Amino acid sequence: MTVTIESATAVLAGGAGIVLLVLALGWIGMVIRFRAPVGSWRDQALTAKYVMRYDNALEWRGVARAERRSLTDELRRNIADAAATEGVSDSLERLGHPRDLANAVAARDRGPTWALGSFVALGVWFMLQMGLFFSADVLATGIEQLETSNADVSVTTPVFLGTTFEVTTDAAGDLNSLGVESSAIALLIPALAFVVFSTPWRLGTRKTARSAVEI
Amino acid sequence: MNDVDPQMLKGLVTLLLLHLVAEREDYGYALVVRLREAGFGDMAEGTVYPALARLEQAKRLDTYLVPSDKGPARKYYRITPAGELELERTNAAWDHLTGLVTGLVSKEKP
Repeated sequence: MTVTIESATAVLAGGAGIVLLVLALGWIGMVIRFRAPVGSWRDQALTAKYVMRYDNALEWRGVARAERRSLTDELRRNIADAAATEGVSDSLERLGHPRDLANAVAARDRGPTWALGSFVALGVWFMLQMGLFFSADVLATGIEQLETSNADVSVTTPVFLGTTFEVTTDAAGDLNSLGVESSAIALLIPALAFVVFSTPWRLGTRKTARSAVEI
Repeated sequence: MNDVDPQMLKGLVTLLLLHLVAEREDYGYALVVRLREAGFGDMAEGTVYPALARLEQAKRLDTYLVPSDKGPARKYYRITPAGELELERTNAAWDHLTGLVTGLVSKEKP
């Protein structure tokens, strides 16, 4: 597939809209999931906000999904019980900051997390895209400076795992279009490397951490 | 009532929780209330809940769920054989420590 600058802009705008919609729906789902079982809307919103931050901090500490669900359910129950006598605000204040609570609950090191791994993978992917962008820009500038009319240049480089850059110029020799075509291998190889290396590393470090439970 | 230093309490939370759960199986907030009724009003939920989680992870406490009319089930804690051994050990350590401290601070100054 060849992507020109104009079509890439439209795809990015559409993609950003879909991402925002998915994030908004996900956030509403989280609020419903983490709200207090009883109390006013304000109490439920305060509880949902606290428990969401607690769950997020637990995830960054490497706590597995099933254990997080058990811990957040227990906390919601306890907050609801405490709120009946002392109010939600006071009971949340006595819990302290959700990050500190999560750090105290998951005190031992649980090894690397998928959240952290995904964050790093996203960073690497972004750097690769920037590399592609600047390489394409250098190529387009070079072709444009040759002032060749109606040029159609296609370059495939092993540096980006077989990605092809395509530049065309108009009759005046100005840039007409710039396309970048990535092969499936360019996406598959990094994804495969991520899965192959992260799984044993994660399991190995978790096994070490599990043997070090302290009270 | 005299104030109790929260830092001193943090070191005792394991002993207190094991003792309370050995006395009667209970859930998180109820244990906080029992601690307050016993005079430990400064023992915040932010200290008690992580201690319970760590005791469960270390298999000193076991848990079971009791369904609730509304919302998530209550998680009850009960002591395990390993927890009973830990309680005996910490009780003995506490007795030894209080003996030493009492002996030292009650000495008449020359």
